[in-house]
Order: sequence, then C-alpha cells, then structure tokens
Amino acid sequence: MDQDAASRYLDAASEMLGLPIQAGHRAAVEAAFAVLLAQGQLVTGFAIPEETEAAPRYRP
Amino acid sequence: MRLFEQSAIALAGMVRARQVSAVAVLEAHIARIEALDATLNCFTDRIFDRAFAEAAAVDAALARGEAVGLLAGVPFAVKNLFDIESLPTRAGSKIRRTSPPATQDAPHITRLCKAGAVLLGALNMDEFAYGFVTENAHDGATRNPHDTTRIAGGSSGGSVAAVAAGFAPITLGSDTNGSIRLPAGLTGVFGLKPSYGRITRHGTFPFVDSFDHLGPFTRNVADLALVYDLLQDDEISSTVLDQSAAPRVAVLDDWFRYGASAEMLEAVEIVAQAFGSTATATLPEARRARAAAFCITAFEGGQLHKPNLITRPEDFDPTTRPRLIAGALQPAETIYQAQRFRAWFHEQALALFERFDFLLAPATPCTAPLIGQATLVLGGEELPLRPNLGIYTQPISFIGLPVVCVPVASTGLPRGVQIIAAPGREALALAAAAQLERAGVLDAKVVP
Repeated sequence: MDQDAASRYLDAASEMLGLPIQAGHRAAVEAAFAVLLAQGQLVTGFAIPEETEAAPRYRP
Repeated sequence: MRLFEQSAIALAGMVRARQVSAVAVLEAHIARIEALDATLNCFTDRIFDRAFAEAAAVDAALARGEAVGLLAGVPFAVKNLFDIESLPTRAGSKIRRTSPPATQDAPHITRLCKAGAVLLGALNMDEFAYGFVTENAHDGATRNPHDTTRIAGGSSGGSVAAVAAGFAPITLGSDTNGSIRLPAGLTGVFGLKPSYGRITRHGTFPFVDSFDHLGPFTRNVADLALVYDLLQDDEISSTVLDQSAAPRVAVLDDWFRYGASAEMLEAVEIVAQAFGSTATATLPEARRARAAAFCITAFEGGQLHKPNLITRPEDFDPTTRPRLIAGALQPAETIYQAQRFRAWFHEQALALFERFDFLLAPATPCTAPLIGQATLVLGGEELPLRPNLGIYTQPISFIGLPVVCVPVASTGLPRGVQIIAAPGREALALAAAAQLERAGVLDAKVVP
C-alpha cells in the first residue's frame, strides 16, 4: 500500500470506526501505521495451511 | 552481608529465628530506598505506614510463639498495574491515577502477604505496559542501577531496578511481549515469565488479553521458585531445584541471533557450555511471529483504550498514543491471520520440544541502551530502539511459553539469557537455572 492509499485508509477507518485523529497527532499515527502495515504484510504474506484455525478458541 | 543484600529466603529465616526483627528488615530497606530512589525513580507509590504495620504484625506473631509464613518479614513491591487496596491502579498512566482506589489487593499481593511478606508500594512502568524502556512521560524514567545514564528496560522497569538496587528482594511485574525478561536482562536480575494462563491475571490492569502474563523478579533462583510456587495453583508444577538429569538444550539460531552483539552471543554460549550443549535449533518464521505479536498487541491495546483515545487523547503518553490509535484502526484481516499464524507457530515450537527440553536465546540484542537513545543498530541497519529491543522476546510470549531469564556473569553491563521451556514446564526451567547458578556462571548482585 503506498503512502497515499494508507492515508486514505486511515481517514476512512477513523471515520467508520469513530476514532478521530487530531491534526497534531496525525504524523505520529501515520508513522505508527506504516510500521504496523509492514509488520502485517509479513503475516498476511505467509501461506498458512488451510486447516490451521485461529488460536483463540471458544469453550462452551 | 547487609540486610538489603540478603535473599528473601535468608531474610525470612533470620526473622523466624528472631535473629532480626521484621521491622529492622523493613527499616534497612526503606533506608536504602530513601538513599537511592531519588536517582533511580523506581517507586510511584510508597505505603510505608502499611508496611510498618505488616512488619510489626509479623514480629508480634513471633513473640506470641505463633507460626509465620515462608516470607516472614520479607519486603516486596509490585508494578503499578497490580491493585493495591486504597490506591488507584495507575498502570503507568495519567488517565487512571484519578480512578477510584482499588477496594482490595490483587490476589498475588494477598498470597505473598499471607506468607508474611511486607508490601512497600508500587513501581514505575511504561504507560499501560506498552514499551520496553520505562521512560514514562508522566512519572519520569527509571534508571538502571548498574549505570544511571542507562534505561532499566521495560515495561517492568521499576520492578527490576528495585531488585537490583536492594530496595526489595522480591518484586512482581508483567510480560506481554517481553516486559519481564527484557528488563531483567538489562539490570542483571532473575525474572520468570510463566506459561500463559498459569498465574491469575485477576486484580491487575490488562494490556493485551491474548498475551498478558504476570511473574516475579528476584536475585536468586530459590527465591524465584518460592514466589512462583506461592502464586500458582498447580501442585504438579511445584519446583524441585536439584534435578540431576542432563537436560537436552539447544541454542536458537536464525532470528534469535540476528543483530545480536558479540557480548550477548557470548552470554548464550556460556550458558550452552554450562549445559554441555553444542546443539542449535531453528524456530521457523520467528520474524513473522514477532510481526504477528506486534500487530495483535497494537490492535487489542488500541481497542482497550479506544474510549479514552476518543475523549481525552491528550492525556496519553505521546509515545503510546499513536501506536494505540494506529493499532485500533488496523484491517481485521491482519489480526485474524495473525491469530491463525499463532496457532501454526505454536505447533512448530511444540515440535522442537520433542527434541529439546530447553531452548536458549538472548533476552535483548544488546546491553542497556542510554536513556533517551532513539536508535540501535541491528544487522548493520540503524533502526528505532523502542520497537526493536524486544525482537527475541516477542515470538516467545506470542505462544505463551514459560521462560526463566537468567543474568549471565559479566565484567560489563548485565546481559540476560532466556531459558525457554515447553508449556507448563516452569519447574524444569527453574531447575535448569539453579544448575547454572551452582555452576557459577550467573551473577545477580545488589548495585551500587
């Protein structure tokens, strides 16, 4: 995701999820989001076997 | 040896034998705190009136000929995310310091006090436990007793520095991504991060439900094992420190050597040699495990604090706020796949434990950085310090493995090594640490 796309995503997510980003905090949030995006791509870029279920389990 | 240099077990023995009063033990530790804490900045809350009442009660019980517990008269303190009756549980924040005071102690405190221990107060940490440096915007930085220009590490920085400085022989902390093991390593004390779920989290302020652990710090293995046994409920997990069978040990390679300084790699080698091991092992995709832990942490932390991020963002530590906001806004896909990856990575670790009893890794890539230091060099690349100090601890807490972090003797700054065991095998890891202690390769001394 390029920087413009990330910035647009943050705007949309902030509005949709009701979590405003103050103007004075914007640059730091964008920087933190860029780090998270890079780490997230390491995760989503790995081919997890189809049969692997998510770690949290519901116990009735 | 001065009273503040004694172990918890030695102090309790002296108190029970009436060689010294619990009040005298307390006074010696308070004198030490009053002499040094203005510099070190470990305590955020001192409750010495309560401590004197608890110590006097121990002395009175002994005078009446009554039995007292295994920690009779032993001072201890806790990271300020543990509930202490009549204090707000601030969790390193400005936001929570005006919250209603806790109506009762966390069960961990209750158990230690029931064993005769004496609570001194609460200790500094990174805001909401989201950090590895304990340079808290509201309460200031905790300094490393080995070199006060350097960090104690975090997020349990006050807890480790208090043990290293002789303020108490026991403190408690929490570990979500490394916050017990990393600061223990940087300050030269022992730390135990139990298996996920082994010790109750009730009565503590959370950070990331998926990864939060609680555990003790001490200056020797016997104290660590004793406190662990008092805090956990599974009798079959109780510790036997003199096990003689030779453990099967491997040094983790690949990610767990990436960027490590020569002195940290030497520390791991010293431990491996003490076990007579030359084996190495690879925990596959540890870099991605660290990444997955990184994303889940920011997401769950961001969700937890979202109401305050909306209504009072200015009251957060400026180093915490952007990570929580960005974390809360991550795509759901990332978090779901990170939790699937977690299950896969757990299976890879369990496969390694079919061949080895313990895995070894450095606690940190380097010894304690300077206070205010912004970057570190990893693998020849200059990177931000704060997110990268925990690169060897995050993959392990990600899957909840028990770890004893041991301080390897050093002529320079302290250096910690993680002894990583299979889930539920705390007792074996503690026995291994005791073996190293007997071999003379560890050193946890009171400084300065």
